[in-house]
Amino acid sequence: MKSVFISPFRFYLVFFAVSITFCSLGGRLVYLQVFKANEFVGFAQGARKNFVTLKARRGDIVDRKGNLLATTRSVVNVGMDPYSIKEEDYGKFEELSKLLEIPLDKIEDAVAKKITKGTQFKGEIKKVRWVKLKEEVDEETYRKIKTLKLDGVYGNFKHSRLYPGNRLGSHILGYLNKEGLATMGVERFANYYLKGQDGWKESEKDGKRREMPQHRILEVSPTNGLNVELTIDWMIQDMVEKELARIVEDYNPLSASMIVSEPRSGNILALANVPDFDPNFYNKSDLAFQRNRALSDLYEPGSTFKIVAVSGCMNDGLVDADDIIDCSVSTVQKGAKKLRLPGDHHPLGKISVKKVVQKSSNRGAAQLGIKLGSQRLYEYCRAFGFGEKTGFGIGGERKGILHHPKNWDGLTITRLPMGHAVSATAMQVHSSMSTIANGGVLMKPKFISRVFDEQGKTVTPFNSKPVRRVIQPGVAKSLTEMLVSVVSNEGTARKARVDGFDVAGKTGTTQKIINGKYSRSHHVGSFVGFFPAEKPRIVITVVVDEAKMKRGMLGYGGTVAAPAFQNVARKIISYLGIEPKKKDIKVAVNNRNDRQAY
Amino acid sequence: MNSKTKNFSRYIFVLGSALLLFFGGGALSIVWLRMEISAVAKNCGQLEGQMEIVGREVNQLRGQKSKSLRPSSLAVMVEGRLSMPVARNTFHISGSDLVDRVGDGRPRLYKVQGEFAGTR
Repeated sequence: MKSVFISPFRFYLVFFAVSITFCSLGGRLVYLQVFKANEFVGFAQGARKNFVTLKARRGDIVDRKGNLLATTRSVVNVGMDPYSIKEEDYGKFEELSKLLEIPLDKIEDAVAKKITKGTQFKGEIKKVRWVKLKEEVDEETYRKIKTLKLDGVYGNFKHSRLYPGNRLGSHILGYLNKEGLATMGVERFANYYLKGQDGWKESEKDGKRREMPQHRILEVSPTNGLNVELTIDWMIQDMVEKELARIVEDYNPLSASMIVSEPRSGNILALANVPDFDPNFYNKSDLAFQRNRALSDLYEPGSTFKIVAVSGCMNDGLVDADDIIDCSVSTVQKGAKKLRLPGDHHPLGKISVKKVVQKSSNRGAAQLGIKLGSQRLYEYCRAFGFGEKTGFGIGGERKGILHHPKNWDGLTITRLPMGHAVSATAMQVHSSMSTIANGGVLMKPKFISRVFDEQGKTVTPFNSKPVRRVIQPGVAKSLTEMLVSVVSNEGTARKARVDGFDVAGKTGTTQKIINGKYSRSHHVGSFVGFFPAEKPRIVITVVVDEAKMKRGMLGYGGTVAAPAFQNVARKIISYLGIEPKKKDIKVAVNNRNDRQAY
Repeated sequence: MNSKTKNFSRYIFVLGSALLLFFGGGALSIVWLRMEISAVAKNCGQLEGQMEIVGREVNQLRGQKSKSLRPSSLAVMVEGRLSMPVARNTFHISGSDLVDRVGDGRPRLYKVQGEFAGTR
């Protein structure tokens, strides 16, 4: 039997060597598993865990007939990982550049850009694993790109807002900016309803970063945004925008605005301004073009404001429609003060209150204002909604300028009744005329009719809101009759007449203040009216700022704004099938019988 | 080895085989089940993906449809052929007008034929 003797030195050497090795391994394990545990667990989980935010789809905005005005679609931000591009794929870049409609250089630069400077410490170099090639590529194009089988070229889906009508109703709709923030218009006003609630899911992914659904741990579905139905009718909106385009072509004004609404409900059927913008390309338009001028731009309403003084006097029982006002006098004695009256374009002599309205007499209106008195005139101005916001809801609305009587100078009592010494928005003037059309009740203008879910069920109704009664129904009726005479051969708005209908309305022409003086060549022409006068259904306001007239003519409201009213009114009558006066129906039916009898 | 021991050994063998079969089969079943669950989950994941694609396409098409149907686009398509009827070409017929023509026994201009709105 062989001796198994081992020298003690060698025994201990091997023993310690083995022990140290195991101790080192054990120490390393303790270091990794105990001291570095959190870091490595986090690293392992990060590589394996898949946390995805499920973006909620923003709700649609539709018009009152369900036509889509704003919707959400998915687009792809296409980019590449320069490290994953194979050299044999370089030949496919030309095809890729054609599909993406970008220069070939841009792709070649992206491939070459493999490192970038880091920001954490000086001299840090980071690998570039994503270079954006193009934003918001449609899905069809992206599918074509995928057929090229370019490893490393891929896209990230995201939601993008689409406005199918392009410029149609841009000032009402507003837009979402690049960060997805609602910036203006309905988008901002109804953001709470539209935005929805994002969801998320947590699962695991495989080595190729594909989700493994069997390892899905938690999933919270997104709640899509609700849809908003506007009171806007996109056919009427289109008519209005076409008419504004014609005004721009004919008169090249600084700006123009039009508002169409239903007086009984306060529903806004159309609201447009020029210049306008395309919300799909909001970043390419001037910021000034994005202003909703009908709500934000102030102007002196001029003669359209005369309805306030006249209706105030009649409502307080100070005058009747047939009472005579002496418009030949240039001054009026009021207590100890002698008040100078404004002039009229033509001498009118002694005329009735009805004629004051029909002929738009400045002197007549001033005398009615004096009769009413400063305080009551001011109160009627406030009651008609001047000097305060209409509460339309869309941002940027201004309340206008209406001074308290204690701040009036000696001329204000004679100038305010004719629409000077006051500034208002087109929407305020529109609301005041709507009050007359609505039998004396001021309604809050409304542009949203309801908020509804994906099944079409109403979630939040937006009902019409009467603000206050301003004048008695009888006064409103008398004033309507006077306003009908304005839109006649004898009145100032003969160009606003519509065959078969009684149209009530008032023109306004204001000289603009240039360098502190009223200019004789810069005017704001306006017309605000409604029809059918006996049972008003539609109110239209047209405001044209600084129309460039030919042959030295002036941009009077009756010349530039009244025809626009007439054109739009005719189209709306055809579109809505508004019935003309009874006698005209009979004529039409009899004519038809005659034709068909043969 | 006596017969008692033989029987015991046989018993142990049968029991062992049965246990092996039970646990082995069970384990394999669990594996099979998990594979099936994975396959179904994968299938669900793919269907979810397809649904998402279809949803995206539907939204895209809705946008395109709306773009094509906007009033100015339609007006261009029918320009010179169709236009909005003007007021003088629009005839408003009241209920009494209808009765005048079709509702009594006298000779009339129009005869009642076919179905009318509200008759069903």
